[in-house]
Amino acid sequence: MGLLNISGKFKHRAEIRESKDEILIGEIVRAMAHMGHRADAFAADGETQRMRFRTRDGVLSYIHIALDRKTGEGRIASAVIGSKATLSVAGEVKNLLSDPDDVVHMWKTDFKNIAKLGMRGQVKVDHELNSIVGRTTDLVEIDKFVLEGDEGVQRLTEHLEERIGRVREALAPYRK
Amino acid sequence: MATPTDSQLDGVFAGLVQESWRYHNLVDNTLRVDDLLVGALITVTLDAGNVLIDLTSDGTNHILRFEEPEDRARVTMALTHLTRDVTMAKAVGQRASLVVGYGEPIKSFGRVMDALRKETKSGYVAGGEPGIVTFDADSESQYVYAQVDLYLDIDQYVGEDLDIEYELLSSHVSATIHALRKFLHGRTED
Repeated sequence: MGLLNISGKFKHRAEIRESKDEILIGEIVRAMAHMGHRADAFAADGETQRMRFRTRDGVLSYIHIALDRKTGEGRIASAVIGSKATLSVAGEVKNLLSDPDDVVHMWKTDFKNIAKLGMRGQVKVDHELNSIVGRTTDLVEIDKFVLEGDEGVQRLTEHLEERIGRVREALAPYRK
Repeated sequence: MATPTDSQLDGVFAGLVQESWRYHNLVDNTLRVDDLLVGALITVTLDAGNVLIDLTSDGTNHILRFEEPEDRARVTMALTHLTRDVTMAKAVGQRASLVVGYGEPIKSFGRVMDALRKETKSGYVAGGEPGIVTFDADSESQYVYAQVDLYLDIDQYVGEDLDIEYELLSSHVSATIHALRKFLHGRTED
């Protein structure tokens, strides 16, 4: 494959400002790797970028992270309101569902959680197929985390650890 | 024949599901190994001081672009998973093609491009073979790149338990970028 073929697949963003969400994605992948979680799925087209991580956690089978940039691609918008995005952290407990009685019990829990929104650190728990998913979403300022050297990496790591901890706590009762 | 009890039937069903999971995990791990390598490539390249500025992935073809914030040097990687079939992966091991590019913004972009164009040879020699370093340019960003085609043995970097050998991968990425930097400077500096 020639390099121009590769270059043609990029979006040719004018400035690094327009790549801040990709920069944050990279930092998330690295921070998660340093926590021992390995990225094993990427969906990186469009405005929302999603990743899945395999864990060695006794509770969580997977961690899903989605970043959806809301503002800041233009020079003026970036200067006035910054680069804001929603950052969702979801934990997934995957059970084998080998016992029909377990499935019936899981369905009943869905109704208890339907009113929770999962915003600003609150964890919304749902059952989806054979998994239990706990999700929390924050509106974040990308500039807090990227191009800020070790301080930015530290802030990002702390944010992820804190959110993963909350999700893990909410899902622990469902791990068989 | 006695009628099976509720728990016996549930046990038989559980066995069928567990056996299905074993096969599912075998196939899933075979298909996901390239994504694990992509994550590892991002990690070691960022650890070397770069930032990720582009990521495109369709599940099989993964294209990454990095930039060093201080000197604006860029690294591109195009990774394609070649063994997405369990039988093939068992037979030859997990393989991927990786095209690595190293580029820098060139002030005398036009002059360098003229020089590279004049070097067009017979057209008989095939490009894209392992170890052959070629040069190309992105006229929009005024970057000139040196690039090389490689075939990676993914099993070296991702173990059967899906553990990542970050140190080994980092040394391989660093060595490749180091070589490409030398080729680029040798070609573009007076």
